[in-house]
Amino acid sequence: MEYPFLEVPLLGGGLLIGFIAIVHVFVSHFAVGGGLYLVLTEMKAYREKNEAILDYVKKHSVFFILLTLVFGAITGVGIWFSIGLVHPMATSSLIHAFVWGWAIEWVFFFVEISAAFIYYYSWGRVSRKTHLTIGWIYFIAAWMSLAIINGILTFMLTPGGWLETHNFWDGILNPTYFVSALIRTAVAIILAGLYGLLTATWFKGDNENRAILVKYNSKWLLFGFLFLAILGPFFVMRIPPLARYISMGGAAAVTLFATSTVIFSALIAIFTYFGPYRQPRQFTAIFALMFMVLGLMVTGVTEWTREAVRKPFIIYNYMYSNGLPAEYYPNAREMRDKYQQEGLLINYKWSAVDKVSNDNYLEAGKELFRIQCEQCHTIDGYNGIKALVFGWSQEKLFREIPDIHNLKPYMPPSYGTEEEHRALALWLKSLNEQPKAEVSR
Amino acid sequence: MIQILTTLQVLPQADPLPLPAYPWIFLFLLYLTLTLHFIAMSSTVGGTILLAATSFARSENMDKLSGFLAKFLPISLSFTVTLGVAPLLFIQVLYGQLFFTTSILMGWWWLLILAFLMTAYYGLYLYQHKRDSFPFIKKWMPLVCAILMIVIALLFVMNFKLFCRFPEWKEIYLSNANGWFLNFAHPQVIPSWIHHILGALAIGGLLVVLHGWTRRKTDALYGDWAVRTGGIIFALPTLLQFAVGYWLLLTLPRELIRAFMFRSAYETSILFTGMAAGTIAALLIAWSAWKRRYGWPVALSTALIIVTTALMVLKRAAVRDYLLAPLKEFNIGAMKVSPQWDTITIFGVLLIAGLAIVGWMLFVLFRGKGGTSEAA
Repeated sequence: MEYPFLEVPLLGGGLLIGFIAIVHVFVSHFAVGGGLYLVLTEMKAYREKNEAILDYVKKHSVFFILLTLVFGAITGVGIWFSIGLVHPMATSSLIHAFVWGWAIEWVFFFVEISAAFIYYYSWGRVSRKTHLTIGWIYFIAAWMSLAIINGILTFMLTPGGWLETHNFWDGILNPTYFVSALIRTAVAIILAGLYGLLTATWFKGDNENRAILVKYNSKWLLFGFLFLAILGPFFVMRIPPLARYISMGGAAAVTLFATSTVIFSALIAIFTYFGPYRQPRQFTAIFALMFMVLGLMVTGVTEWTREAVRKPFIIYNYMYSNGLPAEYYPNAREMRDKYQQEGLLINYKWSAVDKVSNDNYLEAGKELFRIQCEQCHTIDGYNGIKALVFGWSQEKLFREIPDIHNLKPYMPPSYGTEEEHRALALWLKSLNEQPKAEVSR
Repeated sequence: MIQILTTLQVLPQADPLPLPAYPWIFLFLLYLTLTLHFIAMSSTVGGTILLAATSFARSENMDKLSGFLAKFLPISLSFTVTLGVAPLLFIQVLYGQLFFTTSILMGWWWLLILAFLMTAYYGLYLYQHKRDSFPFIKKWMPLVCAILMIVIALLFVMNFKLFCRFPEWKEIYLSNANGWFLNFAHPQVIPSWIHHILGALAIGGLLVVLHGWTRRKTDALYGDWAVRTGGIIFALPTLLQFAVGYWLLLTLPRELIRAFMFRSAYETSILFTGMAAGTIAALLIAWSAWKRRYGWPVALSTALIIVTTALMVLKRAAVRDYLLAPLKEFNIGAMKVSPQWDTITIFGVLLIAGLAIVGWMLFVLFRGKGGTSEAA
């Protein structure tokens, strides 16, 4: 209700953030697990006095720098930029609650970036022990960065005691914090092995050492998946009941995605066992690339599910996904009453129309769609409303809009006056009535 | 009057959650990290412009310079981004009502910054690793990267100057720009942008001076050349800043110019100290290059430029706050505050520890010489 709206045609704002977030997660977790991988593999090379493995680690560290410091860092800033554009209200809440968390994370980020460069540039310049120490500093800083961001992400799904106390630690160390931190660590280990498989088969090297490295990398994957299988159920047990309901039958698409997460993960684990673990000599770069694609798909569906189960909220019980106040938002009841009595249009600062009239009901309806719905729905693209209301009569639309949160528990309640609901219903109806609805401002 | 009423209507309400520290703490950290960000950013942008220039002016010295810049720039770009995250954080907590709004008005350009940045970043790495294999990369990539960075600078200036066009926000939004709005109309955008780019070029020159200074022991002729060339590149844009600074000053309201020049002792001293520090630094570098006396004059100029940057950050904030003053509803001083002292303390302790750890790593890196049989 406070900020202008950035229209993202066809995709919608959520998917825009999603695309950036998915590729970021796929690289940033590698930035954490890959740090551990670098030091442990370097130690392995020293222990086994294997120059080929040491040479591999050096090359892998170049790849690591090029991917994590550039792509990982810029897409991280990309999430900042995109959430501010699509969800300014929620971003503002998070920033006010956790700016010091982010500031602390920034210190770790600074140490992490410095350590990554110094680790890379100190090959051959410092003693082995010092080099490994720098590697450990990198990993610890990177993991701490994950540990803090994990607190803010899990807070959005399970804010726990924070809703009443507004205490920083209640928010960060929320009910899903620890299990999620462990899950993310397991994912980081899996991704370290996954990227390791790619570089081990991609770089030139003799067959014997390549097979050793392929088998070694596959163990990272199997180890990570084992942890994931143990931790997954604990996470599901701790999420809110509605989120469990949505992901286990309540909403078909979310259930499908949640199931895909499990199935794809299991498939990668099985493929890893019978492929690179059992037959390391037969494993090639092309297979490694296919594993990467599968890994990216799992990341995609998992991130999508994680976002979807939070519906109808963006911050659970605090703010709805359309930025409107939920139960625990300060003065939520007063605001809700105001919207119901005065209407949304008069209270939306950026609206082109103040109230519904006989001359402007389509324009008003479109504006109301923008205020309440367009954060999740596009008109005729992803989650497109036009297709969703196809065949609905005007009466059905008018009847269901005020009751939408009861009919579909993953939808926020519809605010506004009866007149506004009617205008929204008329506009929605108009979408399927004529080839080009008179919807432009 | 009508405009002001519209403005009050559209200014987003302050977040109902209190600020988790007193505003002066955030402002101090904002100005500190912004100064560091500007120095890193100027080294990167100025360095990339110079790298582009070396591609078109071939000589042995230019090749050596491009070799240095090729190694240096990806690292400095990385620190530009890292040091930029902190002020972005503090801007959002204090100025979120303005920042989110203006970013949305130019949303697609704001997102494009990421694409431009990533292209420039990988472009610099491509140049570093592949310039000898691909003549095209060697000749044109630095220019492409430099142009992208200059455009990013323009977009940043446009967004922050859009803060001050608050009376027109709603009109801009309703004009159906759909997030493609470009703030060319604000009178300070172009001079401010040129001011930043000239500053970047000057700091790029200073970077070459420092590089030449460190190289003199191993390669006296080249080191000497780099100091003198860098000195000229540093001094000329710095002196040109007088003209651009004057242009920038003329775009400000009269009342503000009067405050800067005469009325407020604090504002006047900040402006003139900054100008004096920059001028002395430029003259000192020119003198040291002429006399070939490097040591203390180079160190002093570098320190003076850091001081100038910090003072200009304060100046920039003073202009913004003055122009935002009519927006009575926006008052940082009146925001609710509930300090989170425990997390503030943890941040402070970790910041010191983090700097110490980075310092130690740099120390062992530069102490290591070529490695031994036990080297990693």
